[in-house]
Amino acid sequence: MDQLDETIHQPVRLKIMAALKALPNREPIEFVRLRTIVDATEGNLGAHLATLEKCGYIEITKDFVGKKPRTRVALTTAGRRAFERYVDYLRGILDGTP
Amino acid sequence: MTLSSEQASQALREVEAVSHRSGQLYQYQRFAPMLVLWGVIWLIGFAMTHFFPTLASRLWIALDVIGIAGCMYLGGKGKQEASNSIAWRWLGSIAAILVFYIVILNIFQPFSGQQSAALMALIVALFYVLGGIWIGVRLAITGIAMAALTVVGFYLFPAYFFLWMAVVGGGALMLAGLWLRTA
Repeated sequence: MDQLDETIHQPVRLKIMAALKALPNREPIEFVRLRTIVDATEGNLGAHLATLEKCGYIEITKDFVGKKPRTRVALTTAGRRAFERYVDYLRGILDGTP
Repeated sequence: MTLSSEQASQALREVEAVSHRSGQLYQYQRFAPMLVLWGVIWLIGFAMTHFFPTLASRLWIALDVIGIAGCMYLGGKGKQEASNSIAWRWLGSIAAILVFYIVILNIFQPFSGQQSAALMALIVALFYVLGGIWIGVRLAITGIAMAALTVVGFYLFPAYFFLWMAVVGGGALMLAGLWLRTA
């Protein structure tokens, strides 16, 4: 990758991607827990998730647990690869080989 | 857009911090129901040991089978990959604890029922502390609390040690499970 992924390189979206990448492959996380990790408001997180979903980096599933609605987010394969390329790009800058 | 070395370094630090936190919370969520399960098992097992001591051996075999099977199920639950690997790792870990426990008891014979119970509780507490060093402080605190409660009950309430472990030990494990879940 020879240029920065601008979609990922935004403070909140970077945290989202890092949080999801730390989970086992395609393991989802609940919206409320992700909000705690990322430390964003509900609206702010929702907006950034929509951006990442539009790029195909994450998938959002909504269902019910009993009568309670639940929203979960998982990293897609494309998102995992994009994030790995992004991290490699950052490391390349530090190594002097972008 | 190009980044400076400082900006790249800052971004990588952010990734590391968030990844660590996310992984930690994920592990807490996986461990939480297991702690509650073993809390219930301890509550039942130690209470029955206090009131029906002649049934203790058979009872604990049955309860341990339930606990081990429960942990294997909970450990692999919901995972889309490698659930067999995780289940076998759980089984291997528990087998290692049991073998160590049996060998130690044989080396330090003769032992009382209270001593064998305290030893198992302390071994389990040790594993929580070691796990907590790698995963997160809440797990380590759980292990330390378990060890402390075991030692207090063993020395201060020897005649009621099993009942102490049932209520205080089992209760502490259940509370710890709920505490991990709320992280």
